[in-house]
Amino acid sequence: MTPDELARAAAKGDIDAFETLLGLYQNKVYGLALRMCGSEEDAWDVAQEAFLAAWRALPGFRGESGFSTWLYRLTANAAIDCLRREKKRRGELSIEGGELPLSLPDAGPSPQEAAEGGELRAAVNAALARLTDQHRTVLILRELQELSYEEIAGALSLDLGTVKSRISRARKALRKILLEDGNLSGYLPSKDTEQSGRGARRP
Amino acid sequence: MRPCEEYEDLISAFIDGVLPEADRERLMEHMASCPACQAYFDDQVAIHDAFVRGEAPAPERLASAVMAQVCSTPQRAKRKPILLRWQSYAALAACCALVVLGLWRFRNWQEERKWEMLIENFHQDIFVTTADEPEAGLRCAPEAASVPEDEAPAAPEAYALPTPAAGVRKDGAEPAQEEPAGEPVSLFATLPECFLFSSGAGAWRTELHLNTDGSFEGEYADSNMGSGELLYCNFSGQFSEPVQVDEFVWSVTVEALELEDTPGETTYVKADNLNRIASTPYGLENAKEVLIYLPGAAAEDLPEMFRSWTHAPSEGALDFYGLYNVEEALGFSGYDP
Repeated sequence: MTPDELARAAAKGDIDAFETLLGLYQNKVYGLALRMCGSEEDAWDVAQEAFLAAWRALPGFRGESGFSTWLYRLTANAAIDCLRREKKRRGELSIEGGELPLSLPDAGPSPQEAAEGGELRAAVNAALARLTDQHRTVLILRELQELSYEEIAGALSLDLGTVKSRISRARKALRKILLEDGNLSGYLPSKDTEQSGRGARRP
Repeated sequence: MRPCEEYEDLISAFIDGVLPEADRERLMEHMASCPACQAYFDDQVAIHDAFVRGEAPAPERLASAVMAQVCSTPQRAKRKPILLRWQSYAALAACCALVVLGLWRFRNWQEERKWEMLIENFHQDIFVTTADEPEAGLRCAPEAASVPEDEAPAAPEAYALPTPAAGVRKDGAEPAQEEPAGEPVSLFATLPECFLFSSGAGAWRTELHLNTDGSFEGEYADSNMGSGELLYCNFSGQFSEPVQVDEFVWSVTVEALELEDTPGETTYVKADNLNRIASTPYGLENAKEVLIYLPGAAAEDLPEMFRSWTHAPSEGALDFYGLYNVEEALGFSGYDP
């Protein structure tokens, strides 16, 4: 049975079909949750919430986007909830921005990696955590989960053009953070430069 | 000099391998004469290479933990269409106060099992059993999902709604619920009684109960199991007279919004070893203009964030009522309890 056939069976209450889906997608769901939340404890909760939400909502699943895309959407929503809760607890009302801990289990560079740019690797992970939820989500889906633009569009209920431009904006924001922290050697426009549209090269 | 915006998008598409050949040549030519874009390109390629990819294997116990919950969680019935109840309108409105006090506070709790357990422990004196919910019957049995499908959603009828000026005024003569059926009624009287803001996946929700005069009460609640904290916010407020934007969209503003407790106030409940922390009304924070979407609205015309929050379809006609907090880009979906 294909995943979508399993989903249709699970929608009718077939628990075995759901268990098969769980086996197929648990790594992807957990991986996304871990990358978005940054802690194994939160990822565990988010992955459970996402699967449970899927089970509950399956009877209403329209199947337009495919089961995996839909499951990604539930996972991303649960992870964003989790991040919001974290921020609320720390007294931040805004849902955007803010620094979050992001520790990936496989983020530690090997000696070879360290020699070949492990520093940038660690810096990218840290900078990712400082992006807005919107930018971080789209980059995690694209760069880490390696979803196609079409899959991201389905998972986030966006059109393709928006996905494309949002990924581009997210990359730009990520580079800006890395430049500010001295982790890249590029050109960095000042605030005034950005406001004036075009500016002079940094000394 | 900063990189040229147009080329930033091309560079991003190039990295993802989706840049058409013609654009690729254009990009390469441009970079040859634009050091800023060349630097941008180099940095983005380095960043792309620095991402740590690959699957993070789920913990072994995850599947069994999920299945244990699945076996005790009923599936949700398909979304029920919200029918207008013109005939029973007067009676319904008269019961409104009772409904406010009774139903809205505990509806849906059974959907979040852990949430339910927490709440039941916490409010033993307030919360009655939720076993009368239709979906809460059979657990884990195939029949649990075989809730009969509802008829196709009722197409929004010609409401014969008043123009805003002719609408029922809060400060005017007769309150809406006392007017005889058949007279012009406020838009509010045609809307569902409850609106829910939630992701569908989290252990939090904001419920807003709308009265026929545009006033509302609601509650935000967010449990965080294991943390010993319960965030909550009881609020009430008033929407302005609705102004019609188009056939399916009306606009109101939040004229008043009051919180029962000051955010940050913490009450320790010894019996539950819980801190109840007063919070802000998530979903209505910063709300100024709120748009009301009626069933039938073209989904593609609705804001993407509204669709995302309410899981509305991306095309076709909206099949439920929605509220959209314009300032915060958040969406509520309506239902009748």
